[in-house]
Amino acid sequence: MFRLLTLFLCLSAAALVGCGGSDNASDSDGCGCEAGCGCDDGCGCDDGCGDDDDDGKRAYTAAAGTATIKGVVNWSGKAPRRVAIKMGGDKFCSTAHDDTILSESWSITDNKLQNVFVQVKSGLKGWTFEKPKDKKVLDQTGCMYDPHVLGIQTGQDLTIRNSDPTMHNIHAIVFDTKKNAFNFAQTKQGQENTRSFRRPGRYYVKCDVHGWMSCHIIVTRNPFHDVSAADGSFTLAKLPPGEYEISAWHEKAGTKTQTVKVGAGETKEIVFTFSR
Amino acid sequence: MLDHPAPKGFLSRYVFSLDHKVIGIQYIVGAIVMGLVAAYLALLIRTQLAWSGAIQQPEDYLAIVTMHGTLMVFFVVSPLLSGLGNYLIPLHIGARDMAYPLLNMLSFWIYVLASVIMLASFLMPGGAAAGGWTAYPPLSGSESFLPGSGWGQTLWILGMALFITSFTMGGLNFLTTILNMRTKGMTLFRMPLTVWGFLVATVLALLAFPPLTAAALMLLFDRHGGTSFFMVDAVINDQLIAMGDGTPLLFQHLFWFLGHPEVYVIVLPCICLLFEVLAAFTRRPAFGYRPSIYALLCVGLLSMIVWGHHMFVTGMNPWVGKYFSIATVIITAPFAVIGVNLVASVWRARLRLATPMLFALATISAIGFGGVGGLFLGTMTSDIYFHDTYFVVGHFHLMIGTVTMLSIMAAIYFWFPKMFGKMMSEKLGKLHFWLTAPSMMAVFILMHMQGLGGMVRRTYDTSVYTYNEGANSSLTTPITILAMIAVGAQAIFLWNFFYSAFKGQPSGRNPWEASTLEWEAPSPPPHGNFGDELPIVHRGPYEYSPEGVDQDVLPQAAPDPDVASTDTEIPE
Repeated sequence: MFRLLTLFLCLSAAALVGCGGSDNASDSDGCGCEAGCGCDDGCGCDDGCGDDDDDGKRAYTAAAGTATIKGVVNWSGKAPRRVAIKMGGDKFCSTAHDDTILSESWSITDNKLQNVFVQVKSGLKGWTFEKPKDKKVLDQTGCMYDPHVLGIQTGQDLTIRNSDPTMHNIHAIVFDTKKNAFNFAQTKQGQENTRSFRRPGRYYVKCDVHGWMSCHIIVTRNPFHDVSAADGSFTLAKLPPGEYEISAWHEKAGTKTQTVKVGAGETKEIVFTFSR
Repeated sequence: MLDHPAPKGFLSRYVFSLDHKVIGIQYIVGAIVMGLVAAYLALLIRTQLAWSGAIQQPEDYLAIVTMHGTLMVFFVVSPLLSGLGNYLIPLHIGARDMAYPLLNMLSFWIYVLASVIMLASFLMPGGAAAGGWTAYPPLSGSESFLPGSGWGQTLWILGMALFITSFTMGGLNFLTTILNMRTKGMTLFRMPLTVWGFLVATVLALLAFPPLTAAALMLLFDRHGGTSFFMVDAVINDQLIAMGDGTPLLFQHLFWFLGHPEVYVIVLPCICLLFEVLAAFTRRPAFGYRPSIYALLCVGLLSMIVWGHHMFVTGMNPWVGKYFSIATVIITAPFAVIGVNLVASVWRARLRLATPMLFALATISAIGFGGVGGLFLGTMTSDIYFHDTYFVVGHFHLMIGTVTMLSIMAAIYFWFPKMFGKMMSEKLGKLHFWLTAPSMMAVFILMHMQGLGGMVRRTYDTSVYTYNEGANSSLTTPITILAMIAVGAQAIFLWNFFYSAFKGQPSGRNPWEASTLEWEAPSPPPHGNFGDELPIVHRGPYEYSPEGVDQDVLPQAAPDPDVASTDTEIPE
């Protein structure tokens, strides 16, 4: 009876610490993993090598990547209005910015579209990619996510930081299934937690405390992805020579693709144009 | 459309109405009337305690205490929640009315009948029932023990049986309506937490009330049918009174099998409706929506198996007592989840301190104080010391008196504009709050102090029975004065309520800029609530401060402002 009681209290305490309930089960759908999990530790994470059989595949090395695809994302037509974010519900957030903060869903300057996720959609069959050693960072600063769109490779560590002196929770949802990948709270300024993803796909991240806070994480099996900057520019560097289908995805405007053939040591420039 | 037409005459519109909104307001007004009686009885109790020996005979005091408890639990707080549930559930879930309008009307009028019979208990020879609100036999079994245990107790039993009938009819209506009449898009996990609170409370009530009904009927047979389910032979003044060889303990089990879930039946909706108020006045989503629901379900389940902690001093087997102690302590875990979610909902928020919000914040405070006291009473070792002291009185008055009344006040101030299309006065509301909440809290927290000092409850005249001297008995008079302030302040509320209903400032459709479905309807909502088309629900109930919209709220029925791309790129 005592063990049962202890177990129940521990479960309840765990629920309390991390917002409670099954929402917090970071591995509930097998998509979100604590950092440090390996293939053989029974936690279900893999190393980012994908699910394919390794027979007949080449391991990618930096020496193989001599080609580059660069480009820009344009916007055609009248830019959608950017709505001001209301942060009045939180003492800190409401005083964190001197200027009005605009929604990041549409960020268009001089007809250049920011926050477009560009990646190699196909053309890399036969290559395998190691888990990157460098970490990606998702910061919560001024009650906004930085960056708004983030690309990451399967198995790569993602450091999630709270730079604000207020509580945020990081609630990541698998876009396809609407299941929780992970959901936990960061109560202290400077708090960092690390997570990784084992399945490629799109993840929607939100803060349940501050309704305006949202961002997108796109998980890929290969390292060739970028997010367009304020001037619309992006770069896919260190590609092996080959013919690729490149896709550009924007959270509101949708997806566009084009095919590019690039040789060894060559740099190709492409342009994506979105409109409503 | 509705299967009952719009009422045309005064009687069908305001008296024998089938409309859930009218019935809801009828319940609230009925409960206010009974509340005035119960509050008057409370002042009589406190007057007797503070200025002992002055007014009442012992049997009168016991009758007053009995009727105060009975009226408050069953005829004030419960029907207030019936009223709020009746009014809010169809509007919250996008229905045109309750599932069974006729049953709804009947349940209200049976409540009225039950109230009349209960009050008539005062007019009986020997006076009103005096065996305690728990009606424990053998005390409640025969007028040989108490004058009030004559016809007064019989009417008490009949009144309770009718009340249970009314409450069960209402509960069936709530349950059927919530499960079957939700509008398109209103999934269970898009329902406001208030509706979840009513759903769980209704299931608990339907499961827990039948044993009390059985107990009441068995007690009736013991009193008038010659049976002895609960009655035992007794010796009074050296005289043997032959009653039979029943077991009074059985009644206690049957009573508390209802009695403890009944606490949650009235507390859970009160706590859940706080989330609505907090979200609207912090402009933030209610924290931990789903965990709160799961915790609510756990609390509901566990509340059915902890009744024995009210009976630790009956000499139960220590192993049984240990079980009930552990089960009771376990229930604090899911309850704490709800409590933490309430606090997190306001944590570092920028609060809009309108009257409903003030009452909501005070309720959270009362839950904290009351919850801590519950730990001591749920544990057998400490309960044996505290059980017959004012610690118990303070605890249950904090939980099912202060928490419920403050929360219901928050609800009335919050939804009054929807009910009447008028605003209540904020100035009077705040005055009402500052006179009510601190004094109520102080009354019952000080009673905890008296209990800690060992002050024994159920003592009517401290000038005669002096064993309470030194047990923080000097607090008795201040408590009485604070109670008078708390009761007196309700005059402000009554004036504000009735005056504003007729002369208040027009409120408009959604004065608090809230997100749930009832605010889509006109204020007050017309017959059928939502016009020709029922609203369609697109999202959860607390979408405050979203990105991408000009307002700081995205109502449940508003279409998506800017449809996001559904493309998902999966690389090879």
